[in-house]
Amino acid sequence: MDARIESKREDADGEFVRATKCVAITATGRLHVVTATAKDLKSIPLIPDKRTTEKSLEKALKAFQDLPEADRKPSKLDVGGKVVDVKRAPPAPPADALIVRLFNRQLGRGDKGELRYTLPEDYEPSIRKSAARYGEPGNDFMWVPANEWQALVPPEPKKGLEFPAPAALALRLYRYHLDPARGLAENQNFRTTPLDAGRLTVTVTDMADGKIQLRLTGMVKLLQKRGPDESKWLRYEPALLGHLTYDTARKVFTRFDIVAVGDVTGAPTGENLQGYRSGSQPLGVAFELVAAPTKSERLAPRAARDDLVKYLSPQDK
Amino acid sequence: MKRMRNLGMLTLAGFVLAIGAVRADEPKPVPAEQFDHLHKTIKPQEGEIRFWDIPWLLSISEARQKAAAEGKPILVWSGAGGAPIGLC
Repeated sequence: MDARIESKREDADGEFVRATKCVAITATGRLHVVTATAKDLKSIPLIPDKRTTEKSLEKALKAFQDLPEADRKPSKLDVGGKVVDVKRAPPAPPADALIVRLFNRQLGRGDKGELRYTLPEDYEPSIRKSAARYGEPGNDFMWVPANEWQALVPPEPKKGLEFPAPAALALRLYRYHLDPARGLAENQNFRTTPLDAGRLTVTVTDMADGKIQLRLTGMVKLLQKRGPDESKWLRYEPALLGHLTYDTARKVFTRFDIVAVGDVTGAPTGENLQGYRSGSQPLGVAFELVAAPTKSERLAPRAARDDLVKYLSPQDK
Repeated sequence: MKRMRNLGMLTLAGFVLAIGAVRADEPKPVPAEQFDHLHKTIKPQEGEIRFWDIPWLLSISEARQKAAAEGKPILVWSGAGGAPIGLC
């Protein structure tokens, strides 16, 4: 939940949040255990100590079990008030938008240059204790509006046909979803990337059994300048390869797999050393279609934070 | 241990996929035959990002109604940046 928004809602959810103070406004965040009847049982800071967190949750559960049934399992729950504050309602994906899941993972190189998972010794000594977390993928969602994914399907497809990917899709990938900071911090490093920083090409590779197979190829040079010292600049220069499948009968994409792999130089988060490795280090990003999203998979893209309109309709320059 | 595993011999250096012209100063293309393996191994492996094992709801009202019906407490995870995809 985004504390900056939830605490200001003028509806039943906002009233609950203010009554329980269950939404933290710090960037790091917190866990809260509350009852449906608006009792606050426990506030738990987010720290990388599993046992401490487990003990706190156990205490909260005990406190819950000691409550009268009217609080544990109220027979009548009045959520009351206005149903939804439309000014503060969580954003939903646009109608018929594709929801694509993405995972970005720091990688390392073995002795022969082969890609491998990261090792603690890949990281600066001061942050090695968090190496296990840095080695796990960060994750986010990408929304692709209907007009954009429809533009990926040529009106007269034929094998070998090649054309540029929609500019908006390319810009969204470059600016929002190829960020080494994702999973590490709130940074949004490449927001002003122009279209000519890269190229993204669609090729029709096959047409059979009512399916159009498309290949997406490209590359981009992402750069965030941080002052006059070029050694402090952040760069990520991945190549991209994707395989998309369009079902002509159902008129939907059934596959939207993309991989981006390239080297990062510079500190992903800039202001601190979260996930920092010196030199040029590989970062991989994998995208895949979410065919039947759950409620939580309809979460707004983290990368679009505070910027959903621009995110959905990015403009070059 | 997972962390000691190589991702197979995925040597990108010197491997060029002959699709269009690739300039010398550009990142080398992703080899086609490595796509499936790369895609699979970049994605979460078993035991990773277990946050997503939990069936989160995005509405407090919905959570309250479910908690009341099932007789359970509500766990709220919040932060100024939104969903905790990563700690700051």
